[in-house]
Amino acid sequence: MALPTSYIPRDSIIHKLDPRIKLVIIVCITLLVFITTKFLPIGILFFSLLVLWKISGIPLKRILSYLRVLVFLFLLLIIMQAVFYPGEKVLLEPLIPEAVPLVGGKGNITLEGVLFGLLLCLRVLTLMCIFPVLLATTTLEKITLAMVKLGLPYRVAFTATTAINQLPVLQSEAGVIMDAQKLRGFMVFETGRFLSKIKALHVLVVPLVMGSMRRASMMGIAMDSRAFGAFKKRTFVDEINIERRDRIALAVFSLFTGVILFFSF
Amino acid sequence: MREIIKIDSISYSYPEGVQALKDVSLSVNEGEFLGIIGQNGAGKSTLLKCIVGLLKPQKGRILLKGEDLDDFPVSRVALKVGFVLQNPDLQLFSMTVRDEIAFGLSNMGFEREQMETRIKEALEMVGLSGREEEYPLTLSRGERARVVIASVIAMNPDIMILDEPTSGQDYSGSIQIMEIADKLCRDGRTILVVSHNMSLIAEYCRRVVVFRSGKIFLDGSVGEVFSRPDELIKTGIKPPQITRLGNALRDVLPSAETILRVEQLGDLIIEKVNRRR
Ligand SMILES: Nc1ncnc2c1ncn2[C@@H]1O[C@H](COP(=O)(O)OP(=O)(O)O)[C@@H](O)[C@H]1O
Ligand SMILES: [Mg+2]
Repeated sequence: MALPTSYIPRDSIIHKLDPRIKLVIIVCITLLVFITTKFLPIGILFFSLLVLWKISGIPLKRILSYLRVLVFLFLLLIIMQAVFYPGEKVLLEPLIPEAVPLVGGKGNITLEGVLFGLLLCLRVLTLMCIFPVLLATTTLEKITLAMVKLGLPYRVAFTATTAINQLPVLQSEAGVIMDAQKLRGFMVFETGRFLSKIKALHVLVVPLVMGSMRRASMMGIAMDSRAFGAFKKRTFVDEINIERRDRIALAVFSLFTGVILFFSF
Repeated sequence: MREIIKIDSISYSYPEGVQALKDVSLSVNEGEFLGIIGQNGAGKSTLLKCIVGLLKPQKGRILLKGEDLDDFPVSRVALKVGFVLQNPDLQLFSMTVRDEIAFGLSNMGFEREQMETRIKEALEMVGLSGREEEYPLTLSRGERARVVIASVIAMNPDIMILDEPTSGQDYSGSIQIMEIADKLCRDGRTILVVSHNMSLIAEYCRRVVVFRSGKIFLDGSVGEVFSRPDELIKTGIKPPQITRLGNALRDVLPSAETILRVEQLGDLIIEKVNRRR
């Protein structure tokens, strides 16, 4: 299974945009999702992201795989909000009888609550669709470079992108470790129930973390031996330039932000 | 001879990748010591993973002792088939050698005393007696590989599959591992081993299967396979040096057999010299 963080080489307009512009836009969209609390603007944001996914060549069905993973969280969110959100339109009578002290009479399921829960889910889903656009269309080297050009120290930028870079490695290591455990007759990850899987997670996480620490120290040595940090000034193999299309993208995005903000308040 | 593994025209493609196995059939008898060779990426590991059920072939089926694999999870198959994966390091996930070996035994539900005996036996078998309390990942490469092997041996499987156990091992490490496999085979287990070391294959295996781009390219006794250098070279394999030397001397040697061991060629040369005297 490919991770949603992997680069997808294509020839789309989004691939060609300057990574700095993409980074700024991505961060702004994230902020917008946090600012807006209404259905319409979130809906527009979500839809626009879908369009961006389509243009960047990310398979749309990946959203379905998110849904599969998040379905528990979403159900929980909706139920929690439905029960605890203070609302007027009661859909279902109190779950807990009035007679019970303290919590009696709570647990009205209100229309407002359900809607608020749905809105929260949509926001989480929207948030999850933002970063894949950047990661699918931009190589990690370019993202690092963009961060540096935007003023971040190289070490910070490098750490951020390396962490992303390590995700697929971690994923495949987790796969091998689980295989090795199955091969020694460990059944939990294969046939166990959800809860026993959670309980057994340490069997997987401990070796995974130990392995990452070993790999990190080896990577440090490898970087040192290639003169990492020997001089203050670095040069880069990639070159990035703001071009006309980047200015247009920025202008369009500013307009878009205006529309979203207009509908948000 | 009883057939213990039957692979019936299986095909396997990775979800986002190549077709790694193309209509492969193979039958292995009980007690065989089978070597599997072929270039990197030829599909050897994929086949082995299908045998234990880590991968499910899209086509064909696999029978272990006549039972269809589809019906069992890997962790059940593992009770019969011991599988040492390619890289030892990710297979060592415990804090001590003892825990590492005990992991499989706990899963099988052994009592503590039985576990202790089995741990001792397994460590003795791989030449690591008395190392129970050490941290597996600080051991030498050869020792790490042998800990993984011990942890599988302790479960006492009928079939033992070793995927490139000698890669990255020094000479004596490789010999040690092959000797362990040989001992298991003499105890009645069936052994499947992948290796790029042709002299080890020639010395220890009785039958060899050659993989090439997802298909079985050659299959026969070690002698048969290594006596076909012209075909082997197509898949980047050269017979062991001693075999090639034997081929070069074929016309003058007293016997036309394929040479697989140094001693074998030595004997033939001595015989030849003695005849001349
Ligand atoms: N997890 C995987 N995902 C996609 N392709 C893979 C994966 N593992 C192996 N392959 C591909 O399958 C083919 C066979 O691989 P493998 O069975 O590991 O070969 P071998 O063990 O003979 O070196 C190779 O082309 C390899 O690139
Ligand atoms: Mg392999």
